[in-house]
Amino acid sequence: MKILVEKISGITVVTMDGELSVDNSIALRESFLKMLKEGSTKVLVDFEKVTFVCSAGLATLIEMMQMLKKSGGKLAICNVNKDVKGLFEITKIHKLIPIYEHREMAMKDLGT
Amino acid sequence: MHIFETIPSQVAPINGFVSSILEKLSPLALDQSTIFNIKLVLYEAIVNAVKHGNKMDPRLSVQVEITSDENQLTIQVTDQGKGFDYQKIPDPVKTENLEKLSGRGIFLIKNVMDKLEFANEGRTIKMTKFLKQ
Repeated sequence: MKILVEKISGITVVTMDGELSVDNSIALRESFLKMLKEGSTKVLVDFEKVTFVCSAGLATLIEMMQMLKKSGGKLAICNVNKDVKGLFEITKIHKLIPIYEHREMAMKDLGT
Repeated sequence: MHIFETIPSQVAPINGFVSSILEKLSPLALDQSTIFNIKLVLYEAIVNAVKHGNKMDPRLSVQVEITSDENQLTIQVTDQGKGFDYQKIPDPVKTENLEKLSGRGIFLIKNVMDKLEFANEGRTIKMTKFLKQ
């Protein structure tokens, strides 16, 4: 899995590509800890190229949300495919982390 | 179709193991969502068996058995651990559990499969998906 981290208008945008399964969740967590260390407080994870997520991936996203909340920050997710969206709904992750259809809307809400 | 495979109690080989099983299922021509769900339950059941069942003991292994016909696909995952009480799994979508970092695996399996059974004092999980005609 490739993880690309960019700073756009004060928001840290994470673009991943592939499957967010057990080992890739560890890689995402490591990247995220680095972002926190560098002072990121508003983080958007773009799921456009993510094809699969398992419970380890869901746990990593929840942990990221909790750590950002502690430092007064926010996490959002966008561009989720139908099957992954189904998992977010089954597990009610969407009640913890805002999920947007498009990046633009997520950036706008995170920016305010 | 009948598949029988074993995997050691390590996390690292799980990705490749699941991919090889999905490849073996390709003659079934399953739709995209069914493949997603089968992949999900394989991951969840195998990770549970390796981590919680066998507690990563390198002397123990996990068995995966898959049978299918035109009506259904059944996956059985068995570990060699002490078993567990599957009736005592907390509900991960209760408000007090929503932010917990574990405990979603069995819940996900229950939600995406059509039938879920346990045997062998919780060492075996049997998951069935009815296939559309």
